Amino acid sequence: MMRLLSVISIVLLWAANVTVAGESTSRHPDQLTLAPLALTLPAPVDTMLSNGIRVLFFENHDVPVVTVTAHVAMGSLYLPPEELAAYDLFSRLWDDGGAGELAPEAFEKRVAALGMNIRATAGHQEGTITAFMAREDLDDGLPLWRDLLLAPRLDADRLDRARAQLVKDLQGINDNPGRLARTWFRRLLHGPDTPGGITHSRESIEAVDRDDLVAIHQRSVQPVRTVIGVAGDLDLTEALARLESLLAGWQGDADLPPLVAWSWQSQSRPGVYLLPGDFEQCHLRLGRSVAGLTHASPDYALARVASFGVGYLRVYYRTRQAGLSYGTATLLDIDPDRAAFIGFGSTRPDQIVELIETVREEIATLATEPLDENELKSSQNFLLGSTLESLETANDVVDSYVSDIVTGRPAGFQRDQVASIQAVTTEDLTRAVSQWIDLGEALVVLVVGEPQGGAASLEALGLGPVTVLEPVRFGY
Amino acid sequence: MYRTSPRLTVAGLVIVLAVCSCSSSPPESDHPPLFDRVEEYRLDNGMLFLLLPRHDVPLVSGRVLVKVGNVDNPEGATGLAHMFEHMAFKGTDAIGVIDVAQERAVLDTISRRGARLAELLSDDDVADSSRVAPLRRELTALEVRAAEFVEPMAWPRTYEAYVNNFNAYTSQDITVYEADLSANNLEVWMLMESERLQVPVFREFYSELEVVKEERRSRTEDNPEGAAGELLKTLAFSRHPYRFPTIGYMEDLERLTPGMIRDFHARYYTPANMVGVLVGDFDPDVARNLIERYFGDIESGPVPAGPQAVEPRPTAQRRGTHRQGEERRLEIAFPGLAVGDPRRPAADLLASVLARDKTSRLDRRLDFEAGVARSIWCSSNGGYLRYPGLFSITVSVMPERTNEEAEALVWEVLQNLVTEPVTDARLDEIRRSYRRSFSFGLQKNADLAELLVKRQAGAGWRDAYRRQARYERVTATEVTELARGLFRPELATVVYLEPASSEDETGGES
Repeated sequence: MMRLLSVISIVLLWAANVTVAGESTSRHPDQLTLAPLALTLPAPVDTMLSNGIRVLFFENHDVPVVTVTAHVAMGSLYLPPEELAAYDLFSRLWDDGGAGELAPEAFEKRVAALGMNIRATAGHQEGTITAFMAREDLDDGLPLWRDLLLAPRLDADRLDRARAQLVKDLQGINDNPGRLARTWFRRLLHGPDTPGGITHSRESIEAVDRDDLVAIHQRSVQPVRTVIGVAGDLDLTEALARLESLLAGWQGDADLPPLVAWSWQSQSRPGVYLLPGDFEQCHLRLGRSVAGLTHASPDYALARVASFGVGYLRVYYRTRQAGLSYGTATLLDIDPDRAAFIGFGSTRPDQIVELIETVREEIATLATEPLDENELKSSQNFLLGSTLESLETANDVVDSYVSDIVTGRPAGFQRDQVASIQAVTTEDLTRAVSQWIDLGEALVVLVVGEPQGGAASLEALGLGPVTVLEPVRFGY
Repeated sequence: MYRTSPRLTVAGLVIVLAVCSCSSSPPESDHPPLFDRVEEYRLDNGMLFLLLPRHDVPLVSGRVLVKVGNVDNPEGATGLAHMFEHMAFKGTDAIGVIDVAQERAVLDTISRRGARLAELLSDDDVADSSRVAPLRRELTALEVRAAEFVEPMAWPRTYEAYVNNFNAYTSQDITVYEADLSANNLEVWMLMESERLQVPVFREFYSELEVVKEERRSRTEDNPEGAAGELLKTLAFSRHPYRFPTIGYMEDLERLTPGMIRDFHARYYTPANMVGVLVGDFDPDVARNLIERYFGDIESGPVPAGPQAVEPRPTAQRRGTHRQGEERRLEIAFPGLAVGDPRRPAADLLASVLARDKTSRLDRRLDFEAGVARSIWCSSNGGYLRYPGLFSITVSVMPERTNEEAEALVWEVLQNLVTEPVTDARLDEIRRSYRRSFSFGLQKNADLAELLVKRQAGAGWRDAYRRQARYERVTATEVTELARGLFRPELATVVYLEPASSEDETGGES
């Protein structure tokens, strides 16, 4: 057997080692003949429980684990600014305050005893409760997950702790120039009292009580707004049977109004701003709101391609090559209901003016040197590859499809995105740039730090007078 | 017309033997079956490849591990390994170069003038002299001149068109070049990685040095936690090069030269000192063929020796304070264990007993009971892979509480490990969570590739699953004895991060 195996190996080996006469190792990828990408997107099974809760399922027996996630349509997107502190605290307390019959410590001990992982988040457009456990622990682990979904205890003592931690996290902004830049830029771009620009105050955090959090849970976590994702080492029949036994009795409010994004107007304050601070570097944020671009836009895919091409292939490489910065770039920041074109980076105080000029120059150059075929190909490659990577595991597949449903995206959104990305042309990119990517009117420029030459050096940019901001001590 | 290459035939016999040897040894039991598919494929020049085919999605994760890190930097050249990693993205003479000869001539001039700059900067008497500034200007002008002969950022921009993402990192012990790509572009990975390992061109050195200095400013000088971590290493290691920051000290960065980069490449980037890892959707036969074609010609060389310095066991506690920003943070570290130390699994479990989840001892005492901590981290060896590192505990301290309070509570918890030992039942819980996490980490190609890289850099890739088996054999008594011997005040290094406005003076400072 071994001799036969050796003979077979040698024959195969000879076949593998022959080269075509004259063929040499290529030194440039463009010289290679590569097969086209076989891009097929996996899709989960889509079904329903007896009470109408939708379930998406993807079976995978490679490893003996199961992930179950409840996705709930809810989020800060739908709330007025005065309710955002309560929502933030709810997000922190949801999986920290115990559930069902178990007080927090008992719940955590039960989770630890099973070696499982369970996490709840409440985000911008959805809330999720994810439980990851061994297949053998489903009997004990799934009820914990169910209790966290339906009956979180939101323990009052833990609420006190969550408040204190949130205050500490806010205070951490003050000595982090990057976080200061992000926080202040949002205030300037959107307005300090809008959902886009607001930062919690200590008062708003301390004003939240447990009743507020209970109300958030009661009105948000409803069967009609919930989709369940299940992935891993079990079959569909078992998955549905388990979910039925856990959730069949869950009857919520069937007459809920549709979720509507909280309507607010951006109160942008265009101009040039300096926030002084004793830091080694200067941090930069610049940008403006972009009209007519959201997640639902027909041009969403095009915007993503353009964003990568400009922000990374042009701005990042240009500033890097000049030795100006470790990570300056731009992007189209597209939310469910609005968008902005934003640049960010950091550099030495004696180079911040040059950095700003370089970014502006690179954006302006797009008019005469538009993104070319190679840049288009790179951008498409990055986005298509990212899509594939986001669907690599069974749970990734389920999570991605369920999130699309819960956030109101149309069926087949992933597939359509892939097709749309592949269909983008250089002409499209030129249109996208002219429509969304410029640093012209209504521009907000913010520098955090101590630029060499102070405010006067920023005035020399010719973007208008510089307003020196009065520092705010967040969290105090 | 087909021909066979004699070189490849010799390599082929090696492959036959490898295939034969692989097929005759039985797989080890009690580990995930996918590890049985890992093939070790070694070239004549000594370079090893680990190949793990998986066909769930048309993706491949490729890694090149180079067994060189910060510990290998020459004295006075901290940051060299990391700077080299940056230079490895500058390309070759085959992509984007308009005039190879002219560029090379200017780069040679830059190299000579750079050596002169380093000489001047090494001489304290002339460091601030009027000779340095003109030389810097000259180097800048030379780089502008060299840039005329090459398309800007041609190499990374070319690679970008074929991979989903590519990057690299340098740690204390290793340098890893990583790329994730669609399966149809495997040959691109082979080409680009082999070329830059064999024939890199170290262009744009001084502009990239500015980028690295920016990176240092953002990670350390403008980052109170980073600066405190740097102080901890400086105090905890008196002799071993782990005491130096991977990013390098600014004064050392200033003295780096293109010549040092070239020498570094020649010494450390030899095939026997490198490991390639491929995980994902590829045909092993095709992969081996490509590996031979692209990596087989790299000239072999000796495996360089690592640092010889042995860190002595501390005899007295070391303390320091760093003042910056507004927050408080506590770092406590103890001597770590050697790679092959049989107590390593117990050390990992001990770290989890202290801080893994909300039921861990430090979390319960410092966070939930005393309200002193915002977050707590604990590591059994600090991510060090080749030599004994640090068993470290980090506490982010809540406002209006003090580092002194946090430290007192940490010592209380550490002492309680002896008076109220951990139970086997608790260890069973932790082991159970390890098993889940381990299983979860086997799902993505990139995670698997990283796991193979990290283990191969230490005890060998099979440690990825053997380590899991060793955890099962650790007893509560072993964990307790380890804690008893380790958590002694005289073995500790303690660093406080205090607000810039604080005035207390304690011990070493930065």
